Amino acid sequence: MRYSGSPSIEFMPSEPIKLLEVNADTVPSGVMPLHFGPSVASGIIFPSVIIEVTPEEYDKIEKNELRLPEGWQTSEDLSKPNEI
Amino acid sequence: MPDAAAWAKGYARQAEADFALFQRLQRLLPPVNTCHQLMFLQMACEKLVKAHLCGQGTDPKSLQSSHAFIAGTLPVVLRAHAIEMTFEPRKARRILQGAKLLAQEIEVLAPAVNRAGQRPDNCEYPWTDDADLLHIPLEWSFTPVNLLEAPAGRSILKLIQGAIANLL
Repeated sequence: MRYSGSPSIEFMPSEPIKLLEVNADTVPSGVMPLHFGPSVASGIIFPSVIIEVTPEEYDKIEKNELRLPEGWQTSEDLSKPNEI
Repeated sequence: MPDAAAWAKGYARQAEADFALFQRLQRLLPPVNTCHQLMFLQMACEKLVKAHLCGQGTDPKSLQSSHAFIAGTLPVVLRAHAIEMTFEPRKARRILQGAKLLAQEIEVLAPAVNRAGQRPDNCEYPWTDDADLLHIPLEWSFTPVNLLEAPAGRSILKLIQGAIANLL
């Protein structure tokens, strides 16, 4: 799921791409943003910040029991397509 | 005279600052050199394990003269934190296998650790290989980058950050 900050800052190249990843295999540790630099070899030319949460933690985010960082708002669902 | 608990807290506070700087460096454009980013990750991990060891009763003085504690102790620290976070053992096992490999690679980032000359690659100083070719950290492709970008990498970073926070 892609998240965005306010329109006034999102256009800046230095503003990291914000991603919330729901992963059943990750360690449950709440909302812990991790920053990653550009990886040109992998085709990623901007810095990114990823919050990886378990499905249970995502439920809490939806119920406002866990809070995302200031300014994060849903932008686009990047769920994997269903397998054919 | 500061006791072991004070040393543990001191190492943990410094580890937190090093990890925060490692993270801040990731955000910068144009990108910061990989060797400089990893230097702060190595420093954060070294202080995390020293904080843990002080907390376990190791004499702080015995920790001051070596950088070679990460490979052996970081996996232990992260496993303990994973248990504390009630991370399902089956899932934790896969992540911790990655953490063990990452810990070995992070340890050799320190120039003083070279595994009897087998791993002269490091984050700070130029070195020569067996063919007498000169390499510099600025141009080196560091293994930890690939490990951190792998699926388990994010969980390992979360465990490192969480373990540091636990010791504060």
